[in-house]
Amino acid sequence: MKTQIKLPIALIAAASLWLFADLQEAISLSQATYTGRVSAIVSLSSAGGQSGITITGPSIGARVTSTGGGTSDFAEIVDFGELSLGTGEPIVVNIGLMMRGNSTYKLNAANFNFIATNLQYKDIDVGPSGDKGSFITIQAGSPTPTGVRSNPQGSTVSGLFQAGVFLDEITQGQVDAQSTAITSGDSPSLGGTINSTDNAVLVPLRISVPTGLAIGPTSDAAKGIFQITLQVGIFPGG
Amino acid sequence: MYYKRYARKFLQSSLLLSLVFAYSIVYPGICPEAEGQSASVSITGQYGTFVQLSAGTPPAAGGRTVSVADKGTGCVASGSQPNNQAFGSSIDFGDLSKGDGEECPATIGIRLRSNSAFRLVASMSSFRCRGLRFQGKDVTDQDGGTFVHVWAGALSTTGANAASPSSVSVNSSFTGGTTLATLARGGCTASSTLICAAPAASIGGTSNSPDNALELPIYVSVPTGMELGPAPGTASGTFSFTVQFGTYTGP
Repeated sequence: MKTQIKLPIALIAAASLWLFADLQEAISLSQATYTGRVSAIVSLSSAGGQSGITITGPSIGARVTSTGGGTSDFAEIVDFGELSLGTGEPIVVNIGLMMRGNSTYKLNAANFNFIATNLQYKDIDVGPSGDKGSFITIQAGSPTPTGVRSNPQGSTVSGLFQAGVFLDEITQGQVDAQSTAITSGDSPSLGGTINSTDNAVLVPLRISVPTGLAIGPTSDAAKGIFQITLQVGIFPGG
Repeated sequence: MYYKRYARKFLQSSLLLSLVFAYSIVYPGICPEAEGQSASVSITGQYGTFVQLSAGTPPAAGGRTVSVADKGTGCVASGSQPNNQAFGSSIDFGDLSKGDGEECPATIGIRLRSNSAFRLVASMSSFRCRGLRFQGKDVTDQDGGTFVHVWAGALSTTGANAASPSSVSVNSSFTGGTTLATLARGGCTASSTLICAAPAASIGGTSNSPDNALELPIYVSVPTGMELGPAPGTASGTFSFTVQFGTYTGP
């Protein structure tokens, strides 16, 4: 009889102990794993909107037209007019290049197209088979910021373009990652997007051509002409 | 004499009946043969501490919402649905360089139940990055996520049996926002970085009740656009980190 009486009590005690042990498991853990990736973005655009070109030096009646611009590919066309009527001082066009990017980069240039007809420079014939633009000098200015998220300190202008390089000394053909470097360095931007106004690095490119009598037509021609196309491209890496 | 003998038998009978009656109260149905024994019933009970952490309802799908539709980064989140179990969520932010330049937040919903004082803590159990730069500087595994922002949203309840949100003390670092790098490193322990603490999360119900939980959204955001970029010589960079959340008893 006593055994029958105490059995329910024993069961209650055992159940209580079991529950107590279970309740002591007071820790609960969960976790979240986050992943993401980034990719290299570099952009080159014209500084100053539709026209990134200013002309200094003697006014020869130069005309400037631009296509593209903003944050798109752009094309600038400069017609200097009659250079022989100039004062003898070089005429300089300043093209503003605006770079943005989140990776290291190279800004390269190439002499994409050079045409000269009946032209001589300092008594040397200038033409497709010979000189390819030794009378044209290209120089890059110091990088400057457009805002607080720009990183001009990360860019270095190449020695050639710091001192000024003649057109015939740079890579011929279409610009690519192996063309002559104008500048290179760390990411131009520290934030923002390709549309931000405060995250670009500006690099002025100065192109100068002689005026006056340093350049003229060949002996059997009344007029000489030249036309050049300079391509500039930005490439990630470098 | 006859009177005295009758009185003594009456008293003896009354005493015997009293004992039988008293014993039968304690053990109903027991025969009076247990004369001279005593018995008692001891009734005891215990209430142990209970705390529970599970996926919450606000973020809708799988315990988290990733508001990246306007970021253009193709963020994808996966994980368990809101329930009463520990959860593991996975969030892929996609290609952040294609974003709009704004922070891209992902939200984890934390659901808390408890019948005792508890603390919710967090730790960064792993951080790994490859070929990554932040604001022009290399990011290594030792960085720990200086580019990742973490903060807690507003507390809410699932019903009347939840404790009042006003009883919850939230770490000011999480209300104001902090970086992932400030969290404790390694697996979550009771001494990991405190998110919040309270005397209790629930005032009734069970671990399955729909009306007795506190819910706390935890936001984790990363930059988009050009703030992050690949390391020199690489076309892309990646990162991956895991945040562990734990609930522990005690203040």
